[in-house]
Amino acid sequence: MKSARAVREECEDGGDGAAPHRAASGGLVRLTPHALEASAASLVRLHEPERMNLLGLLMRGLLSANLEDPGLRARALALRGSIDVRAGDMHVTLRFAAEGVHIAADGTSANARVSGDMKSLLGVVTGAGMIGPVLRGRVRIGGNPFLLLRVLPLIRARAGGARAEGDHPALPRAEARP
Amino acid sequence: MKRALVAIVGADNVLDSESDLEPYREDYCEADPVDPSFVVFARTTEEVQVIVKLCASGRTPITPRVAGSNVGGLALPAPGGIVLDLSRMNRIVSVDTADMYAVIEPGVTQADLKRHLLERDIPLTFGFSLAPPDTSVLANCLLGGLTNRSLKYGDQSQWVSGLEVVLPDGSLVRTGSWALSDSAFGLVPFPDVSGMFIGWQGATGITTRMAFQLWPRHRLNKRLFVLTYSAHGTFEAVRRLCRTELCDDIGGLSWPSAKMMMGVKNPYPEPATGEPTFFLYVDLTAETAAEMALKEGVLEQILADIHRKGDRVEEPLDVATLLRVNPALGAFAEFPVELEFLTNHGGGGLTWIGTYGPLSRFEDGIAAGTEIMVRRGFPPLIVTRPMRGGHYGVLRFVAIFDRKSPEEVARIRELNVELLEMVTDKGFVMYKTPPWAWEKLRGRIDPGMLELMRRMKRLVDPLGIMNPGKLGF
Ligand SMILES: Cc1cc2nc3c(=O)[nH]c(=O)nc-3n(C[C@H](O)[C@H](O)[C@H](O)COP(=O)(O)OP(=O)(O)OC[C@H]3O[C@@H](n4cnc5c(N)ncnc54)[C@H](O)[C@@H]3O)c2cc1C
Repeated sequence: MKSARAVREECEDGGDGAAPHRAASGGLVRLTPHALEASAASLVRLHEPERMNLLGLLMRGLLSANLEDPGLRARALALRGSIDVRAGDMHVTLRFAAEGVHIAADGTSANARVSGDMKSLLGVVTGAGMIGPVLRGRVRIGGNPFLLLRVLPLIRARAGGARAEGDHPALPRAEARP
Repeated sequence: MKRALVAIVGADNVLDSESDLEPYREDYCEADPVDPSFVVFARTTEEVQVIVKLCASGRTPITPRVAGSNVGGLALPAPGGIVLDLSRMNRIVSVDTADMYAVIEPGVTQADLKRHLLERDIPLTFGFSLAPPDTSVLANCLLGGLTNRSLKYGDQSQWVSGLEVVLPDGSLVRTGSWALSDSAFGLVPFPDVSGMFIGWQGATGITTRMAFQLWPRHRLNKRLFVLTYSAHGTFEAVRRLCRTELCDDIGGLSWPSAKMMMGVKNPYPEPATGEPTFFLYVDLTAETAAEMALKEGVLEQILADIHRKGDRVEEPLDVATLLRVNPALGAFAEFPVELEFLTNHGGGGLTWIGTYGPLSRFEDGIAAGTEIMVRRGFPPLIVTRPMRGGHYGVLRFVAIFDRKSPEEVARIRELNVELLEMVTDKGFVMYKTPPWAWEKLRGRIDPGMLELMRRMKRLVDPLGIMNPGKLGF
């Protein structure tokens, strides 16, 4: 097993790297052709993957799947700013930069925030809408609302990305899963 | 020997080149490799009988094997012995839909049987282990394995309703109702001589056919994930849910499993701040939506009550939702499954201390096992499951390692010894016991039972040719 130090170094190669390019939070900038051509998975980087919490790993899966879509990829790469996502006591910060999205659980401040219990947040991500849960107090938002609005489509599970209910051979029909 | 074997099964079914024997020298675990002299594929009971007679005449050790995925070196040969590969003996002989049992050969895999039932639209099912799809249903029944139907119906050996076995002298025996009736409905009411072959790791005979019970496949099913934040909350939920008798399965996985499934090969041994410590996956089945809603309602009530009393547990999440968020979790959507994070991680090594034990002691066992694994630098990957209505449960400590690194293998061996001592002290019993563990336990097992086992083994296998080296023989 690697030492914690080795882990950190491995994950920091290329690391955030976003700072010099960062525009004002929530701002949109011109895209680098390199990032547009990179594989979706390589555009979503985890800070210290071996220590990353479950929420960060879920987010990586979701963003990697979504960034396969050229439209969403262009949107993500044009976005600058950071958003703190908190599910229960777990939280991660998503930083949008020229090179892609960087996910960290280091507690640094962000330009916008969204928090709630896991079930409600998953509901938002899978398309239940934000307004209802916010009104019911199950999801809370704060910070730059424009950034939040721009990020939301990027963290929505798409029917074609991750498989939607009913598409999976196992679900929901009883015949498919013994 | 080779000529005689070729005469029985044909040249295509006898292997002896170094490259062909390579896959049979070792399995996933840390056991030392052993070279067989031949690998022989049998396709019929008659062939098995003749091969066994041949081995008996030359006192050649013989090890039956299908996929070799038992994770304990149980299908590794004795030096110079032959491996009898039964994977080509893979007929589903019959499925009795009226009396709900199937008769299968050893090479029938989890995937084969599932496909057979689905393709014919037979409304019956069986339990799936987390073992790869190409593993033998029969072998896991003989080993008393655990599946996603074990909460309801017990370990897989309890579903066996009849065996056809080639004894070490080549003679054939049928056990259970099959000994008299044309229906293999059950092991009762004769003395249960099937026990001579169940749990014996192939050391008493070669089972060539098995009748075993199937279960109704209900119209609706749902798998729900429950995130929990303490061992007490987790197993309080498990124990209470067991007593509702509403769940088909309540699998439990500690936090590293989800991370490994989502691509983190070596999670840091401590959970991240605020992270759930366990995930329960609860299977519900029902005939109608109302029945399903009722079951879900009871589940939610119990979880809410536990939460209210101070153990944090989240509301159940449908696996379909989780799948949409991260397809990597698809491994838990459909069984049988290839858990690549365990079987295909580069280093090749997989090992565990898998036990059956009292559910009331799970928190204690988990705390002690976690301490040992973390102290030794391993993420505490733990798999649990209540069995047979909750009368006991599975507690399994799992580790992956690099088989090519002698240092890693040495670390793994030390880890397993310490875990074995800990679980045994706490009253858990290791299943599919590998030879090294049997040696450690031998001094603690009731001497009367050991002596009886020795006599039984001598009775059926006086030459000691059947899978030598297992269970201390
Ligand atoms: C990733 C992974 C997950 C797993 N999860 C589970 C799980 O959830 N539950 C579980 O129970 N197991 C599990 N296992 C363990 C293992 O896969 C099962 O024990 C499996 O069913 C064994 O089948 P096999 O074909 O690999 O048997 P083998 O390993 O080939 O044989 C197992 C034993 O049976 C003997 N044997 C084989 N055929 C016969 C025969 N015809 N007559 C007499 N003896 C015979 C062999 O000599 C050996 O001792 C898992 C394994 C892996 C790799």
